[in-house]
Amino acid sequence: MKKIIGLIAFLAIIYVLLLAADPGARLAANHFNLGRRIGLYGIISLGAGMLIITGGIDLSIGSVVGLCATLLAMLLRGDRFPRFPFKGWFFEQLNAGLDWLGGLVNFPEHPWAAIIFVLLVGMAIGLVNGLLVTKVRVQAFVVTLCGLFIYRGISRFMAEDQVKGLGNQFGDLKTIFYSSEAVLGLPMSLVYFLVLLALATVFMHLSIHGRYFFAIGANEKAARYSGVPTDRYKILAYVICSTLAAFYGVLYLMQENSAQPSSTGNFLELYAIAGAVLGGCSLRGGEGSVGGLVIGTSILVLLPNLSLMLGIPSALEYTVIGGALLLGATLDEVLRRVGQKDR
Amino acid sequence: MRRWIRRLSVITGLVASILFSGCSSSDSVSVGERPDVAFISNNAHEFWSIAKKGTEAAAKETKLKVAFLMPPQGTSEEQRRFIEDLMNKGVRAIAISPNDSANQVDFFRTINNRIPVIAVDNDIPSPEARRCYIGTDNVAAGRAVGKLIKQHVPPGSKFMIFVGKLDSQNAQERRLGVVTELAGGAENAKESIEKMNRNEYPVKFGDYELLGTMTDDADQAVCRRKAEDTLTKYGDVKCLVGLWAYNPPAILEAVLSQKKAGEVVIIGFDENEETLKGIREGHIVGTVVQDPYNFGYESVKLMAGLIQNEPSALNRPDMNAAKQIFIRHRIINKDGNALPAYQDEKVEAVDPFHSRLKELKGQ
Repeated sequence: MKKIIGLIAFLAIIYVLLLAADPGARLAANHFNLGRRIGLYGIISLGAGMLIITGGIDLSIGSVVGLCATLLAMLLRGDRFPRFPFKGWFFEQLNAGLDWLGGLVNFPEHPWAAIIFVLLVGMAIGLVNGLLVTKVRVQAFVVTLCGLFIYRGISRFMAEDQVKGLGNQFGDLKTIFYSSEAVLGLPMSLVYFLVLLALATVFMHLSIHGRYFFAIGANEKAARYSGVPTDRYKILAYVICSTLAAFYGVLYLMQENSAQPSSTGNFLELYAIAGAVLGGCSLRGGEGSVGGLVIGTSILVLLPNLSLMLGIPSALEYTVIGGALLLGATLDEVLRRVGQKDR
Repeated sequence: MRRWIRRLSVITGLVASILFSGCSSSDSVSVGERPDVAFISNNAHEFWSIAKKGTEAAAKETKLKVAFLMPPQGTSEEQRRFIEDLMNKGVRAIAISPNDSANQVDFFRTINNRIPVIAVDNDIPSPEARRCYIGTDNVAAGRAVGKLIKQHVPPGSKFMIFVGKLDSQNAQERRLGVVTELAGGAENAKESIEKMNRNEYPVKFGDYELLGTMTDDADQAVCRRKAEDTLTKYGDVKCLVGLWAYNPPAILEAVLSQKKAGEVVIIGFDENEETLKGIREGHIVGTVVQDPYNFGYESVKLMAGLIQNEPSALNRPDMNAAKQIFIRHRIINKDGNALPAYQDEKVEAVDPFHSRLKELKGQ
């Protein structure tokens, strides 16, 4: 708690400024919008944060979001997947395999199967990342940076660079994942985030598994010598991160009603990582808390809203956000030092 | 204790500077002042800064306060965020160049039920989701590019198209216009267009052969690299077409670096400074330009009429039955001569066009 006191103060300052900026900012509608955005960004920050705590990093989050949103849209629409444009036995088998897969389930009629499939794809991506990092010992930065390019390329190839929209269909899914206000009038993304948050809190702070996450991040060798199966936990962290990215892709598609293969999710990894690091996760690993993640994400979401409500020109928006974040981080560091000296 | 006080003063200073930074911006951009109407572009390119001048001119005439917003990443998600926040801030009408309009119909319908929405540059394909459309007829503008090819490239030649992203509607429409013109009409082009959409290159359109469509994710450096590779790979390519503003300069750089100036015809779109310079120097035969100034000007004028409930606002002679107002595109070439293949296109010489453009940009 002491560690994030500076951040809480900073968030409070931003919030007060926001309320003072414009009467419109005080409306319930604005708070609803902010809640929805915090829910969405929170989900990927949660994944990124848990991974960062183990000392890992994932730069492919945005591309995984783009891939999963595009894939889900295509499955739901019942689109035909393109063939690999190469000759030879291997690619013929691969294309045949894709056709077999396409004929396996009638996804447009079983949308839930499509969603589960997409989440499984997210899991598989995380598994591959995790295995490459732990077993092959390629640097996480390299593995996931390559993922950033690969998954973006796949979504563009798969969709043939076309926007994939859902039109008026799948109203039920859109209600469940986006528009429903059945749970205490809260936006659905916030509801999902709160559920995931509760699970993450139990996992990270109240279970032995969370202890291991922190231990691996703080000193992997020491953790391994004390009998922690470090590889398994690190892989788990990658799987959680990519699965949450896939889930974000699902929510994104239901909210935006379409996925743009070339841009959906661009730069999201940076927001996710920024939210986590701002929220007290150290990029060196071993430090951070779920509560901090929430604060970090909230600050990231509130700042653009504040900038617009103040009427700051949109060209300056990034500068204002960057400057404010830097101030926040400095404030946090100074307060933390004051707290330590006093003890 | 003294240390404590010193630290506290640092913190107070930090907090004050945050507050101050909030206040100081108030002088220039009027914090708390509510815009009456808003104009949201689809990205932050220079093109829209010309539209901004148009909105400013109209704002002066109509005495409205106009918020002009450019989403830095050019996504529909950012635009949605802008609109939601502006609605809470109490704007009374919105003009927007929607990214991915086809899939945002429901969203825009909800907004349009509350305040007038005007689609700019990219139409929203539903009459209830916007009051009207203002922009270029991109298919017709693409056909103007096709006419430039017909005029300046010998029949039987191969050509390549460069554009930022193909999942953008205007990119698709412009390309469609180009190939339709070359094939001599929509009927003749049908089969080849299907082939093109399946990426089964090369595809014949009339007397010309399209080698492919190169995308670059709106990255000029990538476009240049791909243009260079095209020139090395296809020694017999005779024409390179760039459909987004930064494409022609990138292509020009590539052609110059490969020492192919004079051998390859370059045809552009929009009015990038380098494109105009290329036309003046004879490296680019022509470009098709839109009129973003009037996008901005006409949008604000229309929004003013709509929020003042003037019945005549939507009753304009230049509006068609689908409630679209097309702002005419023009061909810009070196001397402004209307050549035979241009047919009924408006043509303007590069120099007078450029000096007026500089005025608009305040240079």
